[in-house]
Amino acid sequence: MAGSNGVNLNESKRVVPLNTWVLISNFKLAYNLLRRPDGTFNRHLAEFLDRKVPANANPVDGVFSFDVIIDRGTSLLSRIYRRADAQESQPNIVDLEKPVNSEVVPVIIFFHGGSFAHSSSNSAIYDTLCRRLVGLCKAVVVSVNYRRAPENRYPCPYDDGWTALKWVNSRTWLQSKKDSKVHIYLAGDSSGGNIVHHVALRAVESGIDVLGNILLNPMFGGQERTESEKRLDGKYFVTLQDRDWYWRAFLPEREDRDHPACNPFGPKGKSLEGIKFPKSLVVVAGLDLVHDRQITYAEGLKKAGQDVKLLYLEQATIGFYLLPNNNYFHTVMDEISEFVSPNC
Amino acid sequence: MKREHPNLHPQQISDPSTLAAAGYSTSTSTSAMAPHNGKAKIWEEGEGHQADGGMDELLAVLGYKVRSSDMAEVAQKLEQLEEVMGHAQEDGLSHLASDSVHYNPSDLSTWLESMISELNPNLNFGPSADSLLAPAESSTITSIDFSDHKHHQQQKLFEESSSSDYDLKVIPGKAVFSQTQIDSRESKRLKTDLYQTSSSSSLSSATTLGSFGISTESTRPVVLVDSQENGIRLVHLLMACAEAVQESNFTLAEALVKQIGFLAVSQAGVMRKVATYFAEALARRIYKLCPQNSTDHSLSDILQIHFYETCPYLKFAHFTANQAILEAFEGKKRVHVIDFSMNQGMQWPALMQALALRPGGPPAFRLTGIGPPAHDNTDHLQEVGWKLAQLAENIHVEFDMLLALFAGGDGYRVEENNGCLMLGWHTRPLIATSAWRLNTNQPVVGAA
Repeated sequence: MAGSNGVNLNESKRVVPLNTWVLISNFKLAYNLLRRPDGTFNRHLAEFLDRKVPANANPVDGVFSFDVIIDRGTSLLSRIYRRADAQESQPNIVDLEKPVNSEVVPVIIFFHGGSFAHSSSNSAIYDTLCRRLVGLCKAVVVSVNYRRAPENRYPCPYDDGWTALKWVNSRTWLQSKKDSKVHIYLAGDSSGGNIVHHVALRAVESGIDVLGNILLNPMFGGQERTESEKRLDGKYFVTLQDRDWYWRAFLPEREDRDHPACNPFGPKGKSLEGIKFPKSLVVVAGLDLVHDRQITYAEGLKKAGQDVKLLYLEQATIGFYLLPNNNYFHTVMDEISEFVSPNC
Repeated sequence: MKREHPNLHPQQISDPSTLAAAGYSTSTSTSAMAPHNGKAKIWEEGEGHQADGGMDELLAVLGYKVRSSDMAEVAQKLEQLEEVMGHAQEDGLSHLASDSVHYNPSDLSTWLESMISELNPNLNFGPSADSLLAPAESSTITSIDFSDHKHHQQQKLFEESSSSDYDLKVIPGKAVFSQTQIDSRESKRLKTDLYQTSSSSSLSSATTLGSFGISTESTRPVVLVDSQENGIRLVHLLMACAEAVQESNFTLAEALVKQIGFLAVSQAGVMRKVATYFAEALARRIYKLCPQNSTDHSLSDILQIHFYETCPYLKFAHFTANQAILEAFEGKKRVHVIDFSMNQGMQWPALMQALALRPGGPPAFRLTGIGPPAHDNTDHLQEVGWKLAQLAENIHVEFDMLLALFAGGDGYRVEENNGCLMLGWHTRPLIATSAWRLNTNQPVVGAA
């Protein structure tokens, strides 16, 4: 059984700091407990084990947050992160949604990872990441708490992402002063990266302007096994078996992994040629077992004439961006901040 | 522009300056070292990543409490757990998850130990392990039935959960973080500010998606609801107005109650009625339109009865009290209840019925009711007694009734003495009454 081999454990231990190893291994093992062989998910336990943090309207390190109900029909919440003004120590309620006061303010709509099944906007790992993005990019971050599998399959997360995009686009208080428009970027890791792609597609089809896509270790798959999938299966925290489980949990019941949600440029995918797709930053970790697919994705965009930058981090594993204790983390943060900066 | 990944040599780098040059921050702590074999690449934690108690700061921010000095040990436990999980059957894992008790997941070390023990009870972690396995602590701890583990001393059966939704039982208290409290004064102030500037959003202060014990001085979890809908605005306005009244902020309350009036009529059906009644009640408070001290107590009595029937709280309290009384009366043939605050006697019909249904038949039931004299000098207690007597007759419970009017005050006491009730001030008797049997249809009160 992949992953239970003593040799494999030592390998992953060598390439990440010990506390990172502890963090990701803990997730791995906890997640093993949550996935049931019959395809159901122990949501109760998942929520209990997930370390969560509340929103905090009091600024911490210059960033404050609050939750918003975007759609009551689907209970869609999002957590909004903003920079606190230098003066104010405690934003008043009316200050929460006060207009952004710069010429250009990037608004990053963030989709957390978790293979479509795990985590939430208020998971500590993602709350922390979003707060970092605010400081780094001088941005407003909107973290969407999309519906998860297996209780909610395709296309629910995409629908929620789309709803959030429309909502963000219609907030006057998020408009940049320069052109009275909301400068929107989509960002996400793992399943969130996958959602970024599909929401951007929908945006193109309906005329909402998305300025850029940021995909961190995006989750893609396919029916056939790629070379990296075979080589890295079980070696660095992730197994093909668990990947398959998550796709089965997310995709419509009778579909296979060549469904375009999973494999956008696969046999059932469609080319983006001639479409005004946003520019993309695709970050790929070399020790992520699906990195072949991520590279294929970037190449698919390139072939269709789209603007794409591929950042390949050879020795990075999944989750490297969760802790600021490695060089890749800082590299990626710099790239992201440049990507959304108005000078670009 | 892609930064080159520094080429690390596969041997131990002991010179901090080399590491620094390579872009890694170093710390003096050696606890973060990977296993000492020649192939280890060292990634040091940055300086200042140890907070109080030597906790790894980076993990702490993410919700996990692990001492830096324990990191290697925790890593070892993770490996152990993985191995043990690897031996479990697939089915077994998810059943383990649902049937075991999970302790504080932030305390990784302990959580891992408990999970390992679940899968392999023979593994000894020392004295703490026993307490984890103590059955008194949890309702079900099951272990997997390994037939291949020969040294498995006990064969426990692995329980089939009948429903896949049967999930863990969480032990509250130490095992779960407490909710962070919102500074309630703060939230009130915010609400007031909000309504004065009549913004379109309203605040509902609630802990939202979950909470985590952060040690900041004050965390303000806030959820904004888009309150374009009048229904929502109405509810928020009512709450805000009630609060304003409570804080005696009548100018604000007045402004709000006017808005409420408008919104209420924009609603339909039930919402309209409820909002209107509430608005009226609030208005009465604000404009001090209190009804005169009416001499008509029958209205308030009727209201009392309706309240009793409609809201379960009082009924439930009486139900519980009656249970206690029934237990105390077990086996007794003559019983006496003294009710020191007899209003409508709402508690007693239920008790009498329960007594009537007692196997072995009801006892003789004596009730002494003490209540304040009515303002209009009518003897309402008599009526109460009369109704109870009637009920008693209908259900065949031998019933005595004794009623006493008692205006209350300090130092007064009521004593029963051999069927004779005495009202005294401290030890001085003031009024003595004796009980009369009900053989006519009138409860009788005699007072001396």
